[in-house]
Amino acid sequence: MSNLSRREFLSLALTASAALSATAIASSGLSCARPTPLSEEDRRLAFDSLTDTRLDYRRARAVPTICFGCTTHCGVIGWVQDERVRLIEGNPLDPNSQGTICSKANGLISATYYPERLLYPMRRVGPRGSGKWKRISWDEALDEISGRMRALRDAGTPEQFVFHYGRDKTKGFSKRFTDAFGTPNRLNRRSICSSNRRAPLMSFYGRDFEWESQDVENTQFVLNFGGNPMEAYQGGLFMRKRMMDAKVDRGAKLITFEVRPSATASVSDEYHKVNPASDGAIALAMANVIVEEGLADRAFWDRWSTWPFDEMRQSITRYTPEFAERESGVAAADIRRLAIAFAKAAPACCTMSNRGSAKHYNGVQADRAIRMLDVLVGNVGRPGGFCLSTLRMWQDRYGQEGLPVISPPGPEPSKPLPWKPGTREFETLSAEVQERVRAFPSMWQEKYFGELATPSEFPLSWHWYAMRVGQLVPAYIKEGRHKVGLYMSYTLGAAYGFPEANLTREVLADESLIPFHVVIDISYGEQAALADIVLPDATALERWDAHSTNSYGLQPYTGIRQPLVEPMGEARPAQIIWRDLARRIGGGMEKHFDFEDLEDFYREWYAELPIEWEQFKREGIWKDETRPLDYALYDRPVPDAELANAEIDADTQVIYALVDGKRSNAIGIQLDGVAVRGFPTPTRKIGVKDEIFPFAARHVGLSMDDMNASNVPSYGKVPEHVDLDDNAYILTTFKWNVHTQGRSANWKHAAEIVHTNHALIAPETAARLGVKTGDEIEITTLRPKGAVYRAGESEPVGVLRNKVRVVPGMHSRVIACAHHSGHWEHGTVARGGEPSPSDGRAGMTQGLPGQAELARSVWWSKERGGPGGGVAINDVYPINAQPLVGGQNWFDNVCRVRRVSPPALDQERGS
Amino acid sequence: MSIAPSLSLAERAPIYAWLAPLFAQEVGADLWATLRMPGVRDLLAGLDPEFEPWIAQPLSPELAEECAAEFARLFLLPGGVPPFASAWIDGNREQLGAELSATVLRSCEVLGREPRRAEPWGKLALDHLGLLLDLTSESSRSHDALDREVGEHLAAEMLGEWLVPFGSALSKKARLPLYRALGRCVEMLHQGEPPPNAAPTDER
Repeated sequence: MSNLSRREFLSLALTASAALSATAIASSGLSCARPTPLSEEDRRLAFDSLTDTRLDYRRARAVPTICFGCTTHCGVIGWVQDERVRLIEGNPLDPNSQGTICSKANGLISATYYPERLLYPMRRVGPRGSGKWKRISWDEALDEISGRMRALRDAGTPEQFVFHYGRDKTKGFSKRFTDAFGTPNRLNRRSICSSNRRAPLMSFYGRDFEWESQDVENTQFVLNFGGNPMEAYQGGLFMRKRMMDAKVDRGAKLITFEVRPSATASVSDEYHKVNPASDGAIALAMANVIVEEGLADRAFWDRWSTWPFDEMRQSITRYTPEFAERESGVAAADIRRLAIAFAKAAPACCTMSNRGSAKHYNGVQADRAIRMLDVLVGNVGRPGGFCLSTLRMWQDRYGQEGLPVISPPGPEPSKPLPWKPGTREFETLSAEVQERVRAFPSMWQEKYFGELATPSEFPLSWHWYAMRVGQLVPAYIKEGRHKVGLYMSYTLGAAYGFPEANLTREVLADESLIPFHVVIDISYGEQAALADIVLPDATALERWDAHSTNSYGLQPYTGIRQPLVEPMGEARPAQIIWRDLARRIGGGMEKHFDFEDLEDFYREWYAELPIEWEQFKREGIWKDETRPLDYALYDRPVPDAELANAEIDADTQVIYALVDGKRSNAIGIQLDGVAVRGFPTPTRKIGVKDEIFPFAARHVGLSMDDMNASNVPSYGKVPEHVDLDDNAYILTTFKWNVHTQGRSANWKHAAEIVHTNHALIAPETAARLGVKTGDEIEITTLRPKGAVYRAGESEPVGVLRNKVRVVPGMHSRVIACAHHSGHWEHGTVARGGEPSPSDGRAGMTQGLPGQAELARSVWWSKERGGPGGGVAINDVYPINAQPLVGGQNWFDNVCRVRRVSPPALDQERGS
Repeated sequence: MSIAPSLSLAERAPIYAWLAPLFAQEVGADLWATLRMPGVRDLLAGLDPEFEPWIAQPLSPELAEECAAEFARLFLLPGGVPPFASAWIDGNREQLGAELSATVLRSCEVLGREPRRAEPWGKLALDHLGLLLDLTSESSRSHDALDREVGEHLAAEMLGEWLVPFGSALSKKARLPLYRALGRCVEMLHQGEPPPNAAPTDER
């Protein structure tokens, strides 16, 4: 630091000013003359309003778009004034959200204008992970990436390009890119999220779901097994308003089984604390009661279920309410009472479930049991019941007919070929995997693409569609199961958010395993910190996307995400990034990206809509009000024109279309002499009994005694929960209603509301541990048991310390921590005021910009006496993929807990 | 020479024009040349004792890369010293500087100017320091009275309150002599700033 006095400084500055005045540095070049200056009158008006900058609806422009604050995707209207998005409101035309929004919508504004947002392509200039970067041009970035990708393709190894996304709602655009390049390795995070819930839905109903769509609007009774639509459910916002309306207007009942008093539990008519992973026992006991009380809809069951009624009845007799009480802690009388009330409300009743029931070793079976209740009372597709809306993009096998075709402009690339025995790719597999794949039936060999995309130990993660087992990808790469040439992470937070995220970081940092790592994202997070090149993506307020999804309004609709403002800095929409990469890579893949302007691309996508493009943009949503609602779609008759060229299987009554005289797709089922559509399952019925589970178990060597091998809904205890001792707890996790996993921690709008993740414990737990709110505990997590990754190893998975918050209503064996706090990247707001990693631990005044608004507004920082930005907990969660399906068993974790502060008496005495 | 307690806006304008691109782009040959100009070099050398030997070396590719990495660390990545007014100016602002940006946009309209979109900075945020310095410099040197009023408003409202803590943080966080000196320069240029003589009022 110089000792320059102020007087000396001013003297030098004046000299510099004079010197600069005499040079050509008259303009910095950061601004230029406007092509059309204002008139003098308008200039004066602009001057007069220099400080009148409040949002003025008369001057602001309203632009409808689709929110991307989470995966629910509500229709919204953004108000743009002075080239800034100022406010986001709900779009009343959206039949799903009905004009409502949550706080995450306006969080998008924070994401867009966050002062520490990623705005430029960057290339690392130090060792990977060192935090040393420089800005590069798009040309430099794209040339380098495309050159490396071209080399992989030219070497005949396109599969070494691995694309892994976290949030991709481009409706197939990224798949077009990976298909055109020739890699099958388009990985996702479905197993982290929802695959254990999706698999039972696929088994039952055969649909490529985003989510089910209960007719909550007209229901009278909801049994909710661990779903949390008031906070975090996919589609939760759509359900929230309808549920509250149903409760208030018609006295509908909401019954919630949970381990903690979630927001949904808190507005439920009854909240029952359940032992973790016991939902299946309750559901099966309820089924038993419904059957024994004669309340089952026998006609519906017999017509649609694949499980013969008497066989089912016999099978579930062992699941008595008393048995379920022992397993779950819920009183047998309550189980009996609720089962009867549910059945008596039929068909205006429905089940609801989500991670609370599904993210367990026994979760797939639990959700099968829950789904069975709907079939049993015959509420499926009925008003107020468990409904399935016309599927997104309207081109799937279940939904209303005659809707306009909306599809991306062609040509679509051909898909990579499967890795069958005899192919070059097959030879890259280990002998063990080869043997397993050789034994696969042809239907699986046709879908097998190697161990990252289609892990052979988890055939039900890709039997129905590509759910993958993302949390095992780093481990598989480390084990050498797949060679990577270039890894591209798109909006993926694996380095922070995957279980055992430290393993992910270890793999990403290892250049022998990941020779080149590209990250595309809107924020510089933990994943980007381990990249070689990072590319700035446009935010949801700056981009185009097609939108179509399940409809809780049971009304087919589509919407358009359109840019409200231009991307900041040098950020670009991902579609443009992939287009430009494709053009550089060449070799034919560029022809699938033959567009200049994204708006033109989407205009063509929606060309068949019976509405002008400009009107569609003005309204943001299209729906056909004249159509009936999506009730009982399975009972639609198969049109005569289709039957004319079809064949009915004599044994199953399934109707197959004929192509060139040969059987092709199933198009319906003949029931009682009438050809109806049925469900898009192989049997065209509801797959309550499904042989795919034991079939898959046999192929991967899973014991037939394992609950997951059962062909019918069943219940078994999570292996590591058997014989828990008194000192064992279950560490579970959850999402706060204002956040979208780890992706929103840097949204100031969201972080102001929730910024930390204290360990929530019950009062009796606190008493047992001798702690109170604000005290610190240490949690040590243990390896799971059963047929999962590294099962039974004695070494703990990890240890974390966290402050506790005592919450009445918590289950006494459960420790609940929200999983999206404790970032060490993503900027000041996400870090809760902690210095960035490159600053060491010198404290906020060193690490943050002094008296800045950004720092000052982080009023929850520890330095300012607040709780800080929370604790990163994902490192201590074991990788725990459910057998066959592979969903992460987030809620099974057995752990040990000890008090850290206040110190125990013996510690205080120094012993 | 008699020294006023602070430099006038007219005296600061050339310095603003010189400083502006240093916060928007990495040091290349052109900016390196401006840093070696006699008056500028003396100023920066006075602000950081390591600047003089540093600027005396040629701008090698290695040094340019080091400068680029430092620029990225300070101004482009989280954990740096964000060169945005909205990151520093306190108050009951709506959404991270929406109102500040609106003022800048209207200032541009009065001045008949607009942010220039070019590599490497692309679409600069309206509250970016480089753009604020540029506009203030441009307007204060205009012969048009309204332009000059805008310049005074920008200087008072956009460059007054936050540049002292910004400059201080920059000088502390920077590892290269250039950015340490720039931080000190910005800080001292705005220290003890007298109330603006033409600040806009509610009446106007």
